Amino acid sequence: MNHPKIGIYAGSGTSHSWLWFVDLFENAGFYDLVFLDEFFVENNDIKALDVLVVSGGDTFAVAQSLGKKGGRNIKSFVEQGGVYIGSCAGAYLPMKSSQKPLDWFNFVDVKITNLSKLFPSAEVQTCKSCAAYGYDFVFHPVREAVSLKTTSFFDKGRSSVFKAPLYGGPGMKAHDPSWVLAVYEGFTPKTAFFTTSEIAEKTLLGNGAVVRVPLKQGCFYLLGPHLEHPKFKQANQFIIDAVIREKGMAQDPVESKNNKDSYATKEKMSGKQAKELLLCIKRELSNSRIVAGSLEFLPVQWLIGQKVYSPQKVRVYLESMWKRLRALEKNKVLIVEPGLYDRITTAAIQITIELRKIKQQLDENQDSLKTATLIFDLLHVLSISFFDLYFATMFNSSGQYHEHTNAHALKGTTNYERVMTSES
Amino acid sequence: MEYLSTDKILVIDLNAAQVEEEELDESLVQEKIGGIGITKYLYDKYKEDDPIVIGTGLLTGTTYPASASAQITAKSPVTGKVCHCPVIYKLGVEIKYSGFDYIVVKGRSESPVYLWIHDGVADISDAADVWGKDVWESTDALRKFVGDDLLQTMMIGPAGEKGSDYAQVCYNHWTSPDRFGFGKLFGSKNLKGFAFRGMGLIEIAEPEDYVEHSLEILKAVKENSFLEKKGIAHILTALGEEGVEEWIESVTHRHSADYFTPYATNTALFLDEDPGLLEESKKDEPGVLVSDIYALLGFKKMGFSAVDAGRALKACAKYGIDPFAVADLCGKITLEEIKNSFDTISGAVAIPGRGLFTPWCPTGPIFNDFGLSGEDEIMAWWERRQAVSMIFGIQPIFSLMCPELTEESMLELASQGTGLELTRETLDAVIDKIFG
Repeated sequence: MNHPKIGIYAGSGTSHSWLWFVDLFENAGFYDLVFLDEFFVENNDIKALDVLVVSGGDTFAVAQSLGKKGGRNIKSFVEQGGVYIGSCAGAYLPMKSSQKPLDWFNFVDVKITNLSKLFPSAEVQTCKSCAAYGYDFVFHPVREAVSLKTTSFFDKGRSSVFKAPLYGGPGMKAHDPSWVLAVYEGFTPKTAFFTTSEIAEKTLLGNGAVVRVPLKQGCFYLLGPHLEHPKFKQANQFIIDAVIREKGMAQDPVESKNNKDSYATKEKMSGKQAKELLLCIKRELSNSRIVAGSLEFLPVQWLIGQKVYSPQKVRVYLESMWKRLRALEKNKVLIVEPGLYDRITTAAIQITIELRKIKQQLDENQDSLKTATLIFDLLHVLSISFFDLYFATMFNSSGQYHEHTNAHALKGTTNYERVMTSES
Repeated sequence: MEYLSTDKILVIDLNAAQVEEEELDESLVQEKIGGIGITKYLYDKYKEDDPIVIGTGLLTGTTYPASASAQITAKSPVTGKVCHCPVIYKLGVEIKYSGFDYIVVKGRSESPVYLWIHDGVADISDAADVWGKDVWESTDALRKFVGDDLLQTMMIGPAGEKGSDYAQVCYNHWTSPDRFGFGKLFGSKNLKGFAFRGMGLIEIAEPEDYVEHSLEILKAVKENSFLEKKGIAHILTALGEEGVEEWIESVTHRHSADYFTPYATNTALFLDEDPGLLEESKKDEPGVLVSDIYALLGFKKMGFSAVDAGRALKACAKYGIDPFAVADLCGKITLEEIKNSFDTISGAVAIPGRGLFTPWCPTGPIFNDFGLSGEDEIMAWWERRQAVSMIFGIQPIFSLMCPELTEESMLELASQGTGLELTRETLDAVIDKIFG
């Protein structure tokens, strides 16, 4: 089987949930992963992909970052046979909307069911229960694990039930009911209610949880819950099956683009230089996770855009890299794109410095929002670069390697440069 | 070495400012077991470089009761013998979790450095900012720099930097079991000390059996009636010292135990704060943590109040000097005189037996008699018990209290934990080698 080239959007506006997609695809043996920022999409380098994944985060911030041109490129990508998988914020993004900048992404005729004209009364009022949407409100009746049931449009003659966690994703009504592949079937003992159970049931049950919308030769998969969450294996398999199925059923088979378009010169790094790179990554990830661990004892959250970030999320990024270090250390040869060495080491060192700075700011009761914003930007930069290194290397050692494409070798201006410039 | 181990020996050459890692071979564990069995081996291997060897016990940081200890093995600049000093509090465990079972430091640095050991990474760091600072200031500065209050340090103070024979290597803010002048050795190498932090894990060969068996031992340990007691005063009472409990009661804030140790062998005294305070003190330096029962007793015997004894211990901890030596040798009467005598005291502290183990640890059983009688039998038992504790990583004072912590159970757990067959014959041979 050809391995699909999958692009995971990890640019501005995303939360840490894109890391769950990384785990998901790696566990499925899909190593040809590319980690994208907004510039990659804007430059239309996504045309080299088979699958584009946009995960959770702040929908408005994602839309703003991708821009009108990014929107056009995504639409064109799907029309030409690409598969778009959007989870949570990534599911809201291509729905029709009059709000700016979401109106650049009016691609699918799907409405959300968790929209209210009135400020909804919440059983538990938290910053995660509701967000303003123009003069209306997008509200989130429940969080955590919910139960989903596949429809006959997904699997004729039988249906299956599985669980996935909902963290602000939509309930959906599709223009064509046959687009709905799974509906919200019920709640679970772990479901946390933000509204009354009546409102939650009315908003979600029987409505679309997973919707597939065809567009010319490609399609959009919209996932309300996070089917990619690592603790929900059956839901994970749903996504993997979808990728495999779509790859096989495309009218103009979207052949693996591994053999096409060699974009960049890759270097094989070994010996002392490779050891030094890995030691630097290890040193700084360790320094960072130590101070990040101590931040978790402090009662602090940051509102960045429309999303609330807690210190625990810092460690989610760090651990996602830390747990893969040993596998990298076992490889004698690293596959490193030009400039990647400096990007990784500079970002890793800078994260340690900023984390130590924010700890001091918090200890001294100073405002830390600006530093926190920079830290999360840097974490995106580092993790994208790290995963470029990791998957190119693993792809190489697994024998799948033909012409792995590194996102950042393709363009002049990078998110890395933007973040580092803003810091300087 | 796959189990009960980080699989790594760190070798730091201060002359060359270089760090190297070696794998810990299973065959070495099979032959030397661990702890001072291996630190002694490493000392001999690198002895031309006058090494400081830090090592963890084979069971350190596990669910075996009191598996809290690590140890420093080095040649005492005072006695000239290769000695073994236990590493206590939470520090011993942190060493293993920071990614190395054993650390060899050889040579001398051109300028002051400290070693930052974290998650399997070892950095030789410039100590210019902390050289000249006392132990408390140094520990606070490093914790602030690294951004983590859980950082564990092993530091010298001005006494070590000046080359005092009584200089201690202190642990975090507190005095240590070091009666060997290891602080002087650190200072002579321009080594301010170590900072450790690790978020690692260790694997166990038969984890379910290991946990089940160690919890059975813990259950048996907890049937000892002495566990109703806590702290240093009760230890001194058990050793026949009278009046300590009443003397210290008015300044006793709390008692604290080393990692997974059922008896709290340390007592915190509040000197500038209400000892009954139930919330965290807002004062920077409310008191002192005492683990050195003989130093405390020494100040009591000099006629000090408990508050002044605490202040003397605190001053020693900051200066990085052995408080027992100060109490025993300084010959001064007032607290101020004592503080001013740190650089001028002279004389020798007696080291019992073969001179390998620290008399910080009482030289006989505590709370239980272990069926021993006669000085020679007790000394022989004590030296073997110290050796065994420091091979397996057992808190050395608690091991003198608790007959349930048998050599058989340690060997059995070590075998379960490693998947190796470790026998009494091996243990006897390791101890013979340690005793020389």
